[in-house]
Amino acid sequence: MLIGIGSDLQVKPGKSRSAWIGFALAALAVMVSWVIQSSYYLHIANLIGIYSLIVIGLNLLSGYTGQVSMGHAGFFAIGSYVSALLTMKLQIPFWLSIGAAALVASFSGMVIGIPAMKLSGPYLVMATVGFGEIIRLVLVNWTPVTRGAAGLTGIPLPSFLGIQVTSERDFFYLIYALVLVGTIAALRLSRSKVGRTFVAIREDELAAEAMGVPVNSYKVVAFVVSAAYAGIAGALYGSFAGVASPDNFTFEDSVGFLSMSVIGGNRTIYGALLGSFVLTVLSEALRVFQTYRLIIYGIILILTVIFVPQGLSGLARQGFVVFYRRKTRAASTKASLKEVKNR
Amino acid sequence: MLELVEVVARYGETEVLHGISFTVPPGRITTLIGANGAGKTTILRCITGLLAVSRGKIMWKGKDLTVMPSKEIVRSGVTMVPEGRHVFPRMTVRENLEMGAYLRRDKMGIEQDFEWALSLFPALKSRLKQTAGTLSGGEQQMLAMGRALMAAPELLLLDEPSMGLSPLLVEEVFSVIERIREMGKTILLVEQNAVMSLSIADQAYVLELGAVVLSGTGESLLHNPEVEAAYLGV
Repeated sequence: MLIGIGSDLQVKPGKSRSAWIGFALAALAVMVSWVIQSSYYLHIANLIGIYSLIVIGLNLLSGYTGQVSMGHAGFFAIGSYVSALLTMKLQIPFWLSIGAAALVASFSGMVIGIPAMKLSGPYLVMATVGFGEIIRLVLVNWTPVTRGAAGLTGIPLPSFLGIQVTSERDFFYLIYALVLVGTIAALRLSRSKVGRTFVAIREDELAAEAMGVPVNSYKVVAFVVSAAYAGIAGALYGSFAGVASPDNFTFEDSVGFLSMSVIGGNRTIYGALLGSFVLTVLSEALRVFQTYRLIIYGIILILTVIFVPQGLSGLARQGFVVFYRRKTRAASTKASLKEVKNR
Repeated sequence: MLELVEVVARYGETEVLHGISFTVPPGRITTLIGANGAGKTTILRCITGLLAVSRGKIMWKGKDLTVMPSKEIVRSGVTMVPEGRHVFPRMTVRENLEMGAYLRRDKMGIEQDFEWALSLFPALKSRLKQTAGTLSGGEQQMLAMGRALMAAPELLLLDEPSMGLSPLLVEEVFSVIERIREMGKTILLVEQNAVMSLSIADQAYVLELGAVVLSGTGESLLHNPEVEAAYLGV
């Protein structure tokens, strides 16, 4: 039976299954890039890819480890600015600046992870909201470095292995290559002993502690990993948009990421891809209602939590289980009918 | 042998243990009985490092547990079954048991203890793939105990294993506790169900408001008029 994350963990798929998922995703991405000709749609697809990376990290933190963050725009911003400044001021190659973005974001993840050891539930949420706001205020006020509210403009286009990335299509390949690596890495992590320990902490902190799990260290690790994903996404976003301004990293954005995580289903990795897809497409479609965006997100979020608490990925899985059962039942009825006939 | 020496502990400003001393002899069942708020659970939290001790020592195998992190305490052979079961509800029974062996690396030993846990609690055997949250209360208690045994403890701390269980299940749980003793494990049992725990205990202490007020063998306390009046409802 496939109920909940527990049984998902019980299947020990090892390399072959991750490899298959990776292959399938890569094939899908290539096909999508062929099918989509309009650069507007490619642009949306690229945004989806960048958000997916953030939400994968968020799922590892909130869905797996049970530590909810409403400040992920902060890590996203750090990645963006670090990478932008390094490439602009020091002409550091793009791939190195991505690494630096991940590193600095992880470090800030560790800093916010330490108070998180003492906080839980709504208090942790408040602390992460505070973190996101502090980062935004630093960006606005540290004018000599961040250029304040105007933000950084003219972030150079990345070049990768000697290939200059210029068009939306080039970005598509770059972004989805990283989404692929990020997805596989997260899948591997989630099925490792570390992943199972994350789940144990979410399920029952006291019991985990009683089994000798160093709960606090694991919480910090979860924050570090999650922040690294957001940092990488930030570096991509900066070079993709060409600008980085405080307006791109607000509380509203953090809520958006969390909504993607919950709506897609935060207890799976691919839920992150689903959630970013649905909400990004939706927010494009509802552009005219921009002012009401948070209200619409809020309503969808509430409906999801009430009716599909496992999110879209949970729904998909349930559908799969029902379908599979029906199929096997149909097969067994057929077999028994045959048996009766043969008698 | 576990030895508590003048242990003082507080929650914030409130002192809940006022210099507790007692010993838990090896290979025996020792029980702590007492009313709500006597400090029984607090003692277990101190032993396992979940609550910092303000004064005093907790000696185990020549080491003072009060200065060790929980992880090292589990590694030194002390495992607790927390009050109220505390299984991992959305993990399967098998995964719950495997989490018990979290700090172990000896595959063979883990396998053996897995089989042993299932032989002690046969009800779990057919439910290995079920999520723990779908088990009945009694089964969850057994799972929590089985999981603790997977850590291969020398000293097993049990916090109110009879809580919320039907009399029949309580009997079953207590007979398993006796079987665990037969395997040479040391057991510290915290209970409100004084009759049951005194009847299987080799050594017993009565706790009142954070202090030991009576001690003796289980048998002797069972027939002690004071205990009878206060805890056994005779």
